[in-house]
Amino acid sequence: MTKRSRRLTLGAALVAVLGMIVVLGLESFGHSGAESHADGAGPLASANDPNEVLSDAVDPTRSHAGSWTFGMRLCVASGDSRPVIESVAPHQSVGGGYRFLGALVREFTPSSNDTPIISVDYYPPSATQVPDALHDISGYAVSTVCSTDPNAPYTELLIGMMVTSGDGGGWHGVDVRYTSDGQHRVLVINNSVLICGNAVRQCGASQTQPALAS
Amino acid sequence: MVRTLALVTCLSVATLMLPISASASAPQSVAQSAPGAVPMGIDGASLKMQTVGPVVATGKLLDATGHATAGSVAAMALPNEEYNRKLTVPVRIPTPMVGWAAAGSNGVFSLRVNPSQIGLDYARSDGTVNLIVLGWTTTSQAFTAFTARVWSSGKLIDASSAVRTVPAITINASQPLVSAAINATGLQTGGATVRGAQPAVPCGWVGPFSTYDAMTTIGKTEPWGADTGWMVSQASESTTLGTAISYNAGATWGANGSSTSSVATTKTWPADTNYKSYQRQMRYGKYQYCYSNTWGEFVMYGTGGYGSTAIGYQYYSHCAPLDPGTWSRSNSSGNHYTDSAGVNIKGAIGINLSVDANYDTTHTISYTTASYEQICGDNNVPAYASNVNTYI
Repeated sequence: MTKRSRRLTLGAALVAVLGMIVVLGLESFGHSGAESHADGAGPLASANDPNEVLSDAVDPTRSHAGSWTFGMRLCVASGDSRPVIESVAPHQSVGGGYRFLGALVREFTPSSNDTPIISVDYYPPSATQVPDALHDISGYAVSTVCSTDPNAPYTELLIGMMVTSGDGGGWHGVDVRYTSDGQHRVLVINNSVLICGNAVRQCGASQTQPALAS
Repeated sequence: MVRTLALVTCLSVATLMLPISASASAPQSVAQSAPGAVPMGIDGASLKMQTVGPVVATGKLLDATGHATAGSVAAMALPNEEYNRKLTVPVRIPTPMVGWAAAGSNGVFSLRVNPSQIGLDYARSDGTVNLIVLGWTTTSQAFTAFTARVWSSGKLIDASSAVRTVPAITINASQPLVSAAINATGLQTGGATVRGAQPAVPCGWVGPFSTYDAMTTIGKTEPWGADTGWMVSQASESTTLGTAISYNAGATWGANGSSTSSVATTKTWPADTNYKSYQRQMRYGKYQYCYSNTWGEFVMYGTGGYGSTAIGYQYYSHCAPLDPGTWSRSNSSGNHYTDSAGVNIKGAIGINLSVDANYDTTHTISYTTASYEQICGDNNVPAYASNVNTYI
């Protein structure tokens, strides 16, 4: 190999390496660097207010089931495009006595026979309690607009959990990863979904405050 | 409920006015004079220039027959809770005019305030200020009150923001205009008893001549069957409470607007199977305007007292299934708890006044259910309703 051809080869390799670094950098920014926002501060929302704090703690000693489905609203707060859900994760996980079973989503118009849920037995939920078509969250485009009308179309995120030990546990806050207008974002919902046990003392604890997602 | 009578000793502004960090800056822009006579207590010189600052309310001015009319409105700032706690005897409480607006022939006005006129003794910690607003025509006048948001997160609100909503107020100028007149010595007269030599400043509100500790309802729980419910009210929770005005020296009173007050104490009620409403005690004060027959009953501050009362159960229609366990809500995006007669002050003025308690991160409702039940909201799903209870 001549000196000139060696320089050209090294140059091409350097360009290729630099290109890979740029691509990898962009990829990591696009996923791990997704913009996180509070409820009401981005295109996708739940209560559409960052000050809302909700908490539901299921008591496994009084329930007939070993798994449960928790519900919370999703809605489009701003923008013209429909946010597309990628995944959900705990904002903060507590306790070691539970397992995340999965997440589904439904869209419906509330009525006396078809209402939003706080929590119901089993995951997936039975058709008698959740009578609508259930969709996998990955790739689901949310289209219902945030509204104060109780009769407006409603999109509900359904999170399934089961108890694995007396420790109990769950999520303090729910992170919903989604894409909107080509941007990756994370909605932080201040809604705790919990299974009571040694690590979660809400059940029967009359003085306990709902935990704020940190 | 406690009623105390303070010494009726009106002290001169020069000797007993509490220090107020109020700085005034001359308003700028095009001169705009208010039409007609100037009511007693209003600084006519301030009406010669337009107020520069954010719009804090829109509204309509009505005449004595209830028809829209041209005229003017002027906003005076009321002191905050911290200032009110220092009051032990009646003093002339400084109520600086912080803004004014002209109402067109259709009665419509947009009221601005000058933030630089609102001192530390008036600005509330959440960025709001309680205002007492006087509206007048060429022949009539009347008061109302409301709470204006001027700052948010420590910054002046964006006056140009299209998404910001401001209160809409109506002033029914139902009383005869009592105009100010300046005599040869420069002292303001006209319906006001001039007590000795006073500086040539507008007269204003004097008080409190008496105080009344009223229990105000801030929420309720209605647990079904063996369920339990409870409330936590934490320090810094704000509640909007009705104000009352009398134009006949306290013979009769009418509800006219509202003011906001917060408390510095925390209360956690015990879990209970009974249906209960929860009360917080607020101190009201009685004030007199310009030594006239116009009196006002304004909320001053929270006393730290709390209570609860047994109530009945109401059926709500927006229900969601709930597994046995504990559900809690601290929410400011939903509706407020409102009660048009939630301030029990009838013993002082013959009527009760309104309360509007906003659910926020310092105000929590909780239920523990022992079986499979429902959480029901009165006017929306439980997460956003004004009231929620449990039901089988």
